[in-house]
Parts: sequence; structure tokens; C-alpha cells
Amino acid sequence: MAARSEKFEYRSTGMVDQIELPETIRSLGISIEHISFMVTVFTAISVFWAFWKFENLLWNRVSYRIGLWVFSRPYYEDTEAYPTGPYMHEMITTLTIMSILVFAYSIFATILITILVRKGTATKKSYLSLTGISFLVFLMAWWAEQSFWVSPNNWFRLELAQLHDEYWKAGILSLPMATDKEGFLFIVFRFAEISALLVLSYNLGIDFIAYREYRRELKEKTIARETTVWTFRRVLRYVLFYTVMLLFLVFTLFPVIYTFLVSISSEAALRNQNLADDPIKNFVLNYSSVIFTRERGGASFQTAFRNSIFLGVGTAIGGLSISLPAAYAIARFRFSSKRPIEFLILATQMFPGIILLIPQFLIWRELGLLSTENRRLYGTLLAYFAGSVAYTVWMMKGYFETIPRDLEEAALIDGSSNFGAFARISLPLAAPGMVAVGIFTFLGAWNEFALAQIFIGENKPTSPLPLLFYSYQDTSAPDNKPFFQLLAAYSMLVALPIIILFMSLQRLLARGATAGGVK
Amino acid sequence: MAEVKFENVTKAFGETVAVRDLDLEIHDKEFLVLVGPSGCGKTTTLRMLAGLEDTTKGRIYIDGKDVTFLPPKDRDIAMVFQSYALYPHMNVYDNMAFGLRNRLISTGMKQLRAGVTLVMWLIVIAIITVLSQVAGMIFGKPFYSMMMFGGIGAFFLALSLYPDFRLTLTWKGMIFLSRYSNLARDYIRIEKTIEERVKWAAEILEIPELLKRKPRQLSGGQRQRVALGRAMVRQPKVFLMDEPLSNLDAKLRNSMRAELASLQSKLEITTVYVTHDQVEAMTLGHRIAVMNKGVIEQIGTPDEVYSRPETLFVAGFIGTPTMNFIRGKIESDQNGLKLVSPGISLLLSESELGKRYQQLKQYTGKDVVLGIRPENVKIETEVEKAASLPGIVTFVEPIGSVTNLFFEIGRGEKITVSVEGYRKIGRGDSSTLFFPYDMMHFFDPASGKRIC
Repeated sequence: MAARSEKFEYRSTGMVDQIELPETIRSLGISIEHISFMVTVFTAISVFWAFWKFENLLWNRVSYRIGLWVFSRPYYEDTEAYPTGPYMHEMITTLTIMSILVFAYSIFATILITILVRKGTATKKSYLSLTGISFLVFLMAWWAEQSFWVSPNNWFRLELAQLHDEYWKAGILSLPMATDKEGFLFIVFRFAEISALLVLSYNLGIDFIAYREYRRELKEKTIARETTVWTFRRVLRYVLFYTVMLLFLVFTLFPVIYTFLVSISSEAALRNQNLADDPIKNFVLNYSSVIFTRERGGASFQTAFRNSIFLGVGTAIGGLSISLPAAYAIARFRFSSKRPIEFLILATQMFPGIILLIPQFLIWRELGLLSTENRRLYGTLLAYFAGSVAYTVWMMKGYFETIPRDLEEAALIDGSSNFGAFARISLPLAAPGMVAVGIFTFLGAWNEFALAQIFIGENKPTSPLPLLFYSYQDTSAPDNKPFFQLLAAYSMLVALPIIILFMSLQRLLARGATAGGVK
Repeated sequence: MAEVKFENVTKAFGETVAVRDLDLEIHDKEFLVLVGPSGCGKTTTLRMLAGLEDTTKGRIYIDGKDVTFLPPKDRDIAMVFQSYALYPHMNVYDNMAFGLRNRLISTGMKQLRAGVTLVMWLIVIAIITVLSQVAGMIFGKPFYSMMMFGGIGAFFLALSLYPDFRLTLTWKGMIFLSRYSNLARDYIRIEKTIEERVKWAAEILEIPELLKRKPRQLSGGQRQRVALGRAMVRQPKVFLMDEPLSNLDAKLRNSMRAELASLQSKLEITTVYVTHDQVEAMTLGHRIAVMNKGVIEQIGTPDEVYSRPETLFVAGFIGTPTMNFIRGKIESDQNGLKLVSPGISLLLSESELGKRYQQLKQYTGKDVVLGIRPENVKIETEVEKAASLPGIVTFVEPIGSVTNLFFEIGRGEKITVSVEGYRKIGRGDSSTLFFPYDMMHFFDPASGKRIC
């Protein structure tokens, strides 16, 4: 019964079928795809051979200088260390050269993609083989490079650039690489890596374009499309669009990147208005000190993390499991005093939650929920999901109402019980809603501070992350300033689970689940 | 296979009564069409039979068994919804197999299947881990991490390229287990049966290539077929169809209508079909039940309902263009009976009406409604055995095969006449209308019932 599923067909643009290879070449088992792949690789290698000198000369300079300019701009004018005039001049020069390079690269890539697509190499077979081979090549090059040069490219180059800074200032254009064996190997691996990446990106481009075509076809329900000509302008439009989107992405990500860079700086560097001075060393140092340091009272990052996960997941799962049946009942069934009950649920959201803090504290104390450390934690969990249930019920009610009733009735007729119809039909269809609501309740519990502060308190083995962060701000350096690099590392660690959560559940959040079920 | 019987069934939603004292018997293998305007209670009747609505009063029997208080799953029926109601998260195969699986696969089998799935997943994860460990031992640490990521990547790649990967795991596990367990063996046997049945239905409906698609990837007509297939594979006692063709475009609707009729005669399953479209009712039904305001006005074969409507409502509802009605008083003079209305005097011939004349005689001095279908009214050529009246054309509606002429007779009474082909007759022209006596229907306006 598990027959092969339909797969996405990469349709040839038509030209490739018209090219016939001589019999002698075909007898060797060489197809047009192989030839086009070889052409791609050789083009890439030869072009990048030409680029390479610029690359080594300029890219090191550029990355180093941009790093300095963006992240370590002195707050005061220290003319000794950073002479303003020549510095700015250099910046403008490097930025111009860099933009020319980027532009040249994009034009080159665009032309390449256009030529190859027009040649009609975008068949399924060639796509798979090209992607596979280039991915393997990339992995091998990367691995080899890693084992030869223990450090990753970026900070290796940064150090080199630092070494040759004096040469640059003196106006001497020098190759940072020596002509020894290591240098040669470096060049070879860089070639392999870059050409493989190029092929990979070309294939991904084809993949993307073909996939969009496929989706559009599905939408229009046409049986077969005429050959689409990918003109230069058309491809250029894609490239420009995604370049602009990339710029927006950089803009959005800037605070995160900046925090990350602070978190891999040493204290001395931050005091000298410098950034990311010894990334790997500081990364290990800062993050390990955040993770492994034990605070007063037995609290540590690990315990706080565990507590926060407990509170967050507990609130999300507990809140959902209570409110799903309630929301379903309100959305589906007729019963007396339904409107008043709905209003009551909504009414709990009509005043700020903080005014409940003291009454809640008193009630919880009377119930004995604050008498031991563990009870305080469970009590906080109880308070959290008591607070979240109204929101969850209301959101899920709205979601269930969007699911057509016909589907459940069909399930009933198909032999399900009422509960079966709920569990097999409504719940899977409500999954995107559940995920969204679950994430928001999780976030609420993860970031909550006031209630936890009053119920649990700082520096306890049961305090969650926000409370520990609070005590981190107290940690004083000699000049009474907090250790910013530790705070930054702490922030990155706190944000990490949320980022992973959002990335992994993104698909569910965005899905239009009920599309197509009923007309 | 099964007869359906409604006994005195009433359904009220609070104050409003949707269905009132319904008595209806549907024979075995019959195609019964419930037709009526919207809000007449036909869908409610169907939903009561399905078990989706409770009855307020009365009993429903399927195959002699009282099902009034049974839940839908115990009634052995299948329903095709107007909206098709395909499960969007399942593919076509699973949509069609859903009902059968519910019926045939026991809870124990489901539990076993879940357990097997879990174990197979654990095995996959263990294989990836062990492989990457071994690779790490041989090639050193960088390669180890690469293998680890590569293994996980390959796993997800397999999942994305081959969505049935998960299912395959379960299936293979079950096949392995079936050597040792009767439960697993039964499970596989039942799944094979289900597959056969689904394939059978898909062959009949000509959709075998759609089985792996999701409903959102199908066109309207294909969804319609899947919905039919889902009902078919169950081989139920009764088919219920709730306006299944109303979401299709006109051309597709015509072809699906013919297919539905042939399908029903092939499967020989009792079918109850709800529609507001009289063309569907006339073409599909072995018998038609015309409903109005929660009551069945008439039940009979399409020919009966068309040529001998029992009530004024049925007469007006069935047929396009609608039947002409002339309301007037029966008066008697020396020539015999006459239907008299302002400006109109229609002679009722005793020799032609025969028995019906005597029945009309009892209505002397009372109001009656004369009904006659537009295609039965003749113009221009003299027709024997017909009453005649002069009329003036007010509007002409050519539709190709027929032309509808709108006449005015007497003082503003409107008469529609359908004539074959294209007629060169314009607005303002006058003509004589002939009403053949054997095509006349007489109704009592007070009760709405047929007189003769």
C-alpha cells in the first residue's frame, strides 16, 4: 500500500533534448548533463582564479576594516590610535571596492545562471547529481581546510589582516600568503570550496525557480506549460529582489549580531571600545563562566534553565490540555448560559494581571503553595497557567470555529465517535493554532518576571532565568559596571531556545491547513 | 439491501418546525430525490436519517431496525456532503480508507501499530548514532560530527523526498511482526482488503492516479469523485447525498449527473438525494418527493409528479417555465360550465372533460385555479378539443430550441407559452391561445389540493 509518492518533477526547458552528442562520446557514458557540469566547474575555477588575487588582497582588508568601523568605532576621538582622516578615506575606498566586487559577482552569477538555464540543464537528474557532487566537494574542502587550518576562515583572515596592517598603511600592496606549501594547499581548497559553492548556489537557484514554476502550475491546474524563457531581466529581477531582502535581513539581525559580538569580547576589549578581540577564547570563557558559575544560594544557569523550561513547557502543555476541550465545547456545542461563560472567560483579560499579584500571593500562601522551595515552583506554574487559560481558550475557540463542521460530521458518519472525530479530525487541523498559542504561552512564562520574583525570589535553586539575569546585573566590576560580555552571553543563551523553537515550528505556524478540504 | 422508513417524524428547532409529521417509505435499491425550495426541511430530513440531528418526535427505521436513537456510526450509512468535507490533512487514499479503517481495525491493532511505529523510529535513530560513532572511530572526530549531521540530514531528506517513509517503517515492522503475531497478521490482511476496496472504487470513478494527492491539489470535479468514492468503499446500506452537484459548474454537473445515475444502478444501493434543482430531481430519481414547509406535498415517479401534480405547490415548483395559473370562478349557464375571471371566459366542454366535468360541477360558484403547462398551450394553428382565448404578446424570449412567449389575456393575466424553434412573432402581436382539455389541471385554491 505504500506506493511511491509523487515527487516534484524538474522539467527540462526543452533545449537539452535537441542537443545530440556524437556516438563516440555517448559510448563512454558521458551525457549532456556531465558536460554542462564540467563546463560550470571549469568556468567557476577559471573566473575565481582571476578573482583570487583581489580576494586575498581585499577581502581580508575589507572584513577587518568593516569590523573595526561598524563595531569598534571609538566614542572619543583618539587621533593617535585611529587617525580620522586617512581612516575614513580608507573606509570609503574599501567599501567602494567591496560593492564593486559584490556587484560584479552578482552580474557574473546572473549571467551564468541565465546561460545554464537556457542551455536546458535543469533536468531532475542533472539537478540531483550536480547538487550532490557539489555538496560533497564543499564538505570535503571544508573539512580539509578545517583540519589544515585549525581555525575557521574568518578570524584566520582577520589575524592575517592585522599582521599586514602596517604594510597597508605604508601603501604597500602585499600578498598576505607566503608561497610555501601551506599557502598552495589553502589556495587549492579555497578553489574547490568556492567552485562547489557556486555550483551549489546555481543549482539552488534553478531549484527555486523550478519550484516556483511548479507551484504556479499546481495553482493554475494547467496540464503542461509551454517552455518558459528565462530572460536576463527576469533572472536579474529575482537577484535584485533577494539582494534587497538580504539587506533588510541584515538590518533586522543587527542587534542580535551585536549582542553576539559583545558576548565574544573580553572585558578589556570592551573597555577599550573594541569588539570581538579573541573570539574563540572569549566565547569559551564567557559562555562557560555563565553556564558553570554557581551563584549565591545554589542557583546556577543550569538550574535556572531547567526551571524555566519546566515553567514554560508546563504552562504551554498544561494550559493547552485544559483549554482545548473547553474551547472545542464553546466552539461546537449548544448549552445553556454559553454567552455568560464566554464573557466571564474574556473578562479575566480585561484588567492588568499585576493587580492580581498580591491577592494571588495571599491565596497561594493560605493554600500552602509557598511553604517549600518546590511548592513555590509548582505554585508559580499553577499561577502561570491559570493566567494563560483565558487567552488560550479564546484563541483556540476562534481557531476551532474556522474548521468546517462538515468534516467532523463526515467523520461521525464514517464511524468515529464524537471524541474520535475531535481527536482524529479537529485536533490535527487545529495543530497550527495549537502551536501558535503554545509558543505564545511558552514565551509568556519564559519572560515573566514580576510573579516569579514575588513567588520564588532570586538566587534560589528554583528561580527561573529572568531572576538569575536580574542578579547578574548586580555583579559589579571594580568600577561598579556590570560585566557586559557576561550579560550578552547570558542573553544569547536565553534567546537560543526560543530561536530554535520558532525555527522548527515555523512551517506549522504558516500552514493554511484547511485549504482544499471543503469548497 | 435496505429499506428506509420514516414514521410520523417531526423536527422542531425551538419554535420553528422544520419537518412536520413526515411519513415516508423508501424502497430497496431505490433512488429517491427529496426536492423543494430552500428551508423546506429536506436537508433536515436527510440529517435526521444520518443521525446528525435528533428527532423531536417519531421513528426512523433502516432495514426494519429502529435507528432513531442510534449514533451515526451504528446506522451503516454513507453521506456525500455539499462541501465534499474531505479531510484536508489526509491524502485521497486515506480519505477513502478512513471509514473502513474505523470499522475493520480494532483498538488492539491500532495500539500494536503505534507501538511498532515507535520501535522502528527508535531503531532508525539508533542506526544513525551507531554509524556515526563507528565513522568517528575510523576517521577521527571532524568526520564523526559530519557523519552525525549527514545522517540526520539524510534522514530528513528521505522524509522530504519520500513522505511515506514513516508509513513504510510501520508497514515493514508490521510485516516482520506478522510472522509471530496473529494480531499483526490480521492487521495486514485488513489493510489489504481496504486497499482492494479503495482501488475498486477508484477504478470505477476513474481516479486511480489521484490516490496519493491531498484534497487541496484536486479540482472541484475530482474532489466530488473522491467524496463519492469515500461513500462507495464502505458499501453501506443507504447512500445519503446532500446537494452533491451544486458546487460544480454547469457542464460538469450534467456529466456527473449521468454518472451518478449509472453508478447507482450499478451498485444497487438505496439512495436518498437532496436537491433544490428540479432538473436533477427529474433525471436522477426513481421517485421524487416534493417538500414544502416541512411537509411532503407529493411523492411519485418523475412522470407522475410532472403530469399529474397533486397540489398547487408541486404544479408550480416542477417544470420550467413554471405552469400557468388562471384563477377564476366556475359558473354554469345553458352551454355548460365556464371558468370566469375578469375579462376571461373559458368554456369547459362536458364531452371532452368527461368524468372531470362532474367533479368540477360540484365547485359551481366557487373559486378554482386552472393550471396548464407552457408547452401545452398552442398558438396559431387550430387545435381540436381545446378551449380558446385571444392574447397579446408582451415579451419574447428565444432560447434556441424553444421560444418562450409571454402573453397577456383578459385584464392583465399573464400566460407563458413555449413553442418549438424560433418564432417570428413580436411584441404587440395578437394571437389565439388554445388550451387542450386533457392538459388542464384544476386545483382548489383554499386547500391547494388537486380537484381533477
